Amino acid sequence: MSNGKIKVLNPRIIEIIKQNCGKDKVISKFLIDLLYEEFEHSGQWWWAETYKDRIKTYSARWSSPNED
Amino acid sequence: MRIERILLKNYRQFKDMEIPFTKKTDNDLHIIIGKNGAGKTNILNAINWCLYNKEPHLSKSSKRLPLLNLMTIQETSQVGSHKVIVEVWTRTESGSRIKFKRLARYRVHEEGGEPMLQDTNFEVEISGGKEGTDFQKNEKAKPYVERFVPEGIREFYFFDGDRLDVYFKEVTEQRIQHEIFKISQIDLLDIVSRGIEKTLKDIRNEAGKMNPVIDKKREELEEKEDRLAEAEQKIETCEKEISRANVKVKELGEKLEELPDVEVLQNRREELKKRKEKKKNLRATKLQEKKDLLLEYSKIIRLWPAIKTTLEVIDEERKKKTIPPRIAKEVLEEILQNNTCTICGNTLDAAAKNHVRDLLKKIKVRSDVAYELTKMETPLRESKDELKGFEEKLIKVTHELVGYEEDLDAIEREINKIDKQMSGFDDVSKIKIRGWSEDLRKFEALENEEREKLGSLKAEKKRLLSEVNQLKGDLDTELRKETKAVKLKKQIDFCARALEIANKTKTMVMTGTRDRVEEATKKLFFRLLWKKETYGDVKIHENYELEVIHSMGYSCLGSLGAGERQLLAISFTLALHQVSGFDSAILIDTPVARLSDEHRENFGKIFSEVSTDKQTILLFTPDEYSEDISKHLDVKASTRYLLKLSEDEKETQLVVL
Repeated sequence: MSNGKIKVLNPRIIEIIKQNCGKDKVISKFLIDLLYEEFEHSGQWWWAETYKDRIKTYSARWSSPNED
Repeated sequence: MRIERILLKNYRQFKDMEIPFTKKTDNDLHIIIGKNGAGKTNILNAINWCLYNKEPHLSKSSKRLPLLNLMTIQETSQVGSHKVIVEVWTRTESGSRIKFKRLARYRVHEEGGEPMLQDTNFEVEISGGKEGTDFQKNEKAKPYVERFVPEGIREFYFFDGDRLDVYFKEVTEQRIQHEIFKISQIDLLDIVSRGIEKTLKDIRNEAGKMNPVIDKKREELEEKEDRLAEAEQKIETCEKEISRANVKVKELGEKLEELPDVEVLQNRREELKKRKEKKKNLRATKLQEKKDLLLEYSKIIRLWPAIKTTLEVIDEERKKKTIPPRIAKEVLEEILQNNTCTICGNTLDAAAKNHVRDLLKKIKVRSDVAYELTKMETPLRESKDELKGFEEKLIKVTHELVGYEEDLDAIEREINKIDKQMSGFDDVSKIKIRGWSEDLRKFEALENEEREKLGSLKAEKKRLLSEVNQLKGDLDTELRKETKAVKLKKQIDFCARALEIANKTKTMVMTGTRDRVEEATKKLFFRLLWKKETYGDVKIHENYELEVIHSMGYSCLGSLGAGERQLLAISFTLALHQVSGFDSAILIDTPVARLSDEHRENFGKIFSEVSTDKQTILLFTPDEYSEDISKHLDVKASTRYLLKLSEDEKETQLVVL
């Protein structure tokens, strides 16, 4: 989702999220995506549907380390 | 993101002006010089008006004037409509151009009077990107402003340098924390975490509908999580209270450092006065006791030489064995006279008479005298013993009197010392100092109380956390059993993992950001300072309390001069820019107003460096832009402009220097 977006997020946050996620790129993309969403929606917005939707989408692609 | 140009049409004293900020050198530095009233601050207002529909830096005189240019109003011969337009053209790192434009339409009446606002419009034009040109208006255009410089942190990007003087007078550690969080976007991580948490609850709720056991576990978990959140909230409040009290304790301690603790001193003085009175009374009583003692023993004292001599005589006579008398002289004389022994009744023969005569010769003290001496010996010896007791009593009383004198001297010395400490403070000052001391004790007590509370809250949090983890495990086990909940379980696991990462990231960014802001603030402050040896350190504590340490080791933020406070605020602002990674232009109006020549020179050096990485627009009066600063900035500046006010003071023109 961040493709083509203006560089507006603190690069340090992005860097640390990626570092903490390690190989778990789905979580890292999910969090960065939500950060962009929140950045663009200052004030009140219909966030619940967006979060639900993102969780459904990203979790479907995600392999839990506890699986199997 | 940098500002490429600003266009101003009919906005206040700018009838039609374009200010390009073209980067021509290695430094993206732009200087605008203008006398007071030429419109420097209104350039700052124009940007704020365009982006946020606010003019936070209006002067008193500007507040009385309409937004529409006065010359335009004057030139209107008939009823007409005029537009006020401010455009801020920006370019992103990826090459996209974003043009912000605010327009206000005014109706002007022929007969004069206030122009009437008809309508306003705000729009954003995005071009040069992969998606072609896009237009957004009003509410839909606002998110682009947030991408450029969010309104919440605009005062760190477009600000009046003169206001920086009061920055650290007004700002609290909570505000510093808030600003660091906001500018470094830690608050965004917080918002995302909260959003995921709320959605996670919804998903668990959904899973609970499938199976009552899951629902029961979910309910229990949520109840514990709510209690945990409540405990965390209380801990946060408690820590804020501790921090607030701690700041106050330091602040008041700093104020009272050189001052006497009037309340303690006054109380002590009162106490000493009471003690002095008590001691004086005791001394008077003891003195009377001494007088009574002397009176009581005065007879013995006066007779003492006679008593002493008499006792010596008695002792002497006793040694000679003349006393006590063996036989009375009168008895022997009577025996001789009667020629008969008065004891046995026999008549004396010649030999007996001679023996009696010999005895009479041996008796030197008359028997009545010896008898008297013997009689008086006991009372005389009693008087001697009594006198010995008197001496002991007298020594004791005298010793006690000396003790009282010494105590009174010590009390008097301490009272004089207190009076000396409090001399030079009038009653008003004493009341003020007393008030500060009372507040200091109040905040010290509050801090201790809150620290005790914090201890028990942390223990409660630990217990709840363990219960929450246990319930999470239980819920997980139940979800595994329910085949219908496979997808939801995966979503729950996903959210839990995402939350874990978000919270870990938040902690790491928080700690790192504070450390880096502290380091950068310190570095910049010491570079900007002229007298570097005066201060020892700059600290941003865990509670985000900012502290400046004097080279002598004491905290001295409250006693910094106006210029030094301005330098500290500039350093802190630039540090936030450096650390946040949020790359937008910085514009400062009158940045050196309160700085000395030496500080101005350092300021020039710093900003010539800052502008290599960040677009910097500085607005000066000709006086402020002195040789000390211009020698550093002139050679680096990409553009230099002069704002020139027309003779009738209704329009400002831009002159390229």
